[in-house]
Amino acid sequence: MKKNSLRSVVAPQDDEQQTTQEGLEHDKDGSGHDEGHGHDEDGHDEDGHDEDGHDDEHGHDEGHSHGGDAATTDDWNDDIGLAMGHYLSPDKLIGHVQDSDHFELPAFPPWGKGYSKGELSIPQISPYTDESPMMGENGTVWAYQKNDFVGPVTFQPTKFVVLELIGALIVAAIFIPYAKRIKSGNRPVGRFWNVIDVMVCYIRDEVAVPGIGSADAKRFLPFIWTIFFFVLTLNLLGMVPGLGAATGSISVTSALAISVFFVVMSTGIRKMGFAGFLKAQAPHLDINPVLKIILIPMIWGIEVFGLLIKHAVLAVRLFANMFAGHLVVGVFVAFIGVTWHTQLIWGVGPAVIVATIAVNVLELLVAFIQAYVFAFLTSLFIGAAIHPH
Amino acid sequence: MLNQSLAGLIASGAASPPLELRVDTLIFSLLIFIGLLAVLFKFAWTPIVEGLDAREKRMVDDIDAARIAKEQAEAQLTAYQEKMAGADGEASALIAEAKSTANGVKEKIMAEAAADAQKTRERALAEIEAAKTAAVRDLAESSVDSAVSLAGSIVGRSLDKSDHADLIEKSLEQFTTGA
Repeated sequence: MKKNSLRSVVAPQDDEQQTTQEGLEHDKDGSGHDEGHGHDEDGHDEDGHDEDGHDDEHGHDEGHSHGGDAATTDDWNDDIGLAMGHYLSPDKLIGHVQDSDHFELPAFPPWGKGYSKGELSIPQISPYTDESPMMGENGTVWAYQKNDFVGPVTFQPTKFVVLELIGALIVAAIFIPYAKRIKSGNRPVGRFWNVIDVMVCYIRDEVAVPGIGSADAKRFLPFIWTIFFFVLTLNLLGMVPGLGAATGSISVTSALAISVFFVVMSTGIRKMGFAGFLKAQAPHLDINPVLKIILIPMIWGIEVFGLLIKHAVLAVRLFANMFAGHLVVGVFVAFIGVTWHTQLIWGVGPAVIVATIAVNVLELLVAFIQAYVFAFLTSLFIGAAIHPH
Repeated sequence: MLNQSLAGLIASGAASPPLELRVDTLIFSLLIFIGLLAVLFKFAWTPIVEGLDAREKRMVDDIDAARIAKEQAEAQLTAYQEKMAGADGEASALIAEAKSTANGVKEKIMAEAAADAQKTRERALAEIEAAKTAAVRDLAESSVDSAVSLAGSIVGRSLDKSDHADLIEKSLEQFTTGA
């Protein structure tokens, strides 16, 4: 997805002065644009990559340049004296928050062709790339106009997909042994297993049963448990330096919300039948029949729209909370980059460290709260499908 | 400032717009989630539900057993207390009976002792009386002998044996009657 994007920058610890120098030279004409950059009419680069898609020797991806008079990341990084891709530069920090085709692991040796120090590339297994996607702009199967809401379909594994796999393995590695421990009705022994036991019982007794009802909760417990612990694990993985919060991606949270929507719909339809479920979306009104004919379709439309919206909001809420939290941390750390070459660093640096620790503690809390909220709302939606109105 | 950075990053292709939906990532996520759900359903959630149910059943059974044991203990305690109360009454009755028996025995012993004493007294009196009678008889005989001897010497005639015995007998009767 972001193949050949940030990989070519020079490692700042090793060659910071050089990169800074290059960055300054890069803008020697004062225009903020590299003379060698070519732009097509819509501002896209024509020669932003060499033949195999690698960046030029300056440590700047020529594809970073942009048409028009908008201020660029290159300009801004040059202004603060940090090269594009410096670990403390805003572009790098904010890039950490988003999905990528590689992991940022400082001091890690280059891993993968075209990647620099500290970048662990993810094997790209699909023949499709952002430049020649399966679907999307210039796609081979279906092309649509590039927009800000739907990206090209390449089926390349990304950092978040890998993190989801890791998260799934962690969840399985915890709960399969836990199941063996308590299978015969034994008590869990040990602090860790007791914590797991407390969470399992809490989700059952305080989330699933109140939301769905004690009679039906047991059927949906596996789904609620999976939702909660998977989301929680992905949230907590975001707290690990070098990794990332997969739940900070709207694509990931949308997948979870879609699965919830599917369960809600199938539950409601199984309970009342397809027509019954649709009919149940409109509440019963004891009003004049004429008014009823007018109002019921309107209310039904609003309710159906609300059914879709509340599942979409489920995805957006989780994504926004996780993304914003990590973005705040990135912004704080970016302050260090901003003041790196000034005397302000002596005041800003410690303040940023304290603030970042505080925000991370808050993020830890948010990780649990958002997993709880997601699971609780899922229970409520399922409960509403089983017991309409 | 950061907007510029983010905008530059996105425009460069180095990052996706935050709200950009990647259908492929969504499909991967869906598959991973469904796979995880399937694996956990078989190897974790089902055994966990069974384990929790078994644990709850065991707890309920333990609580029931504890309640039954408590009820049995209370019943035993009540029976014991009743038994204790009964034992107190029984003990009192036994003591009263013992006292009564003891009193009876005491009275019997006293009566027997009194009877014995009376008998002893009577026997002693009888013996005294017999001894007295014997002594009187001896005295009378001795007196009669002396008197006969004296009278014989006075009248000059000797009394034969039958006279002698007849005299003694008469004297004794007179002596006894006179005494």
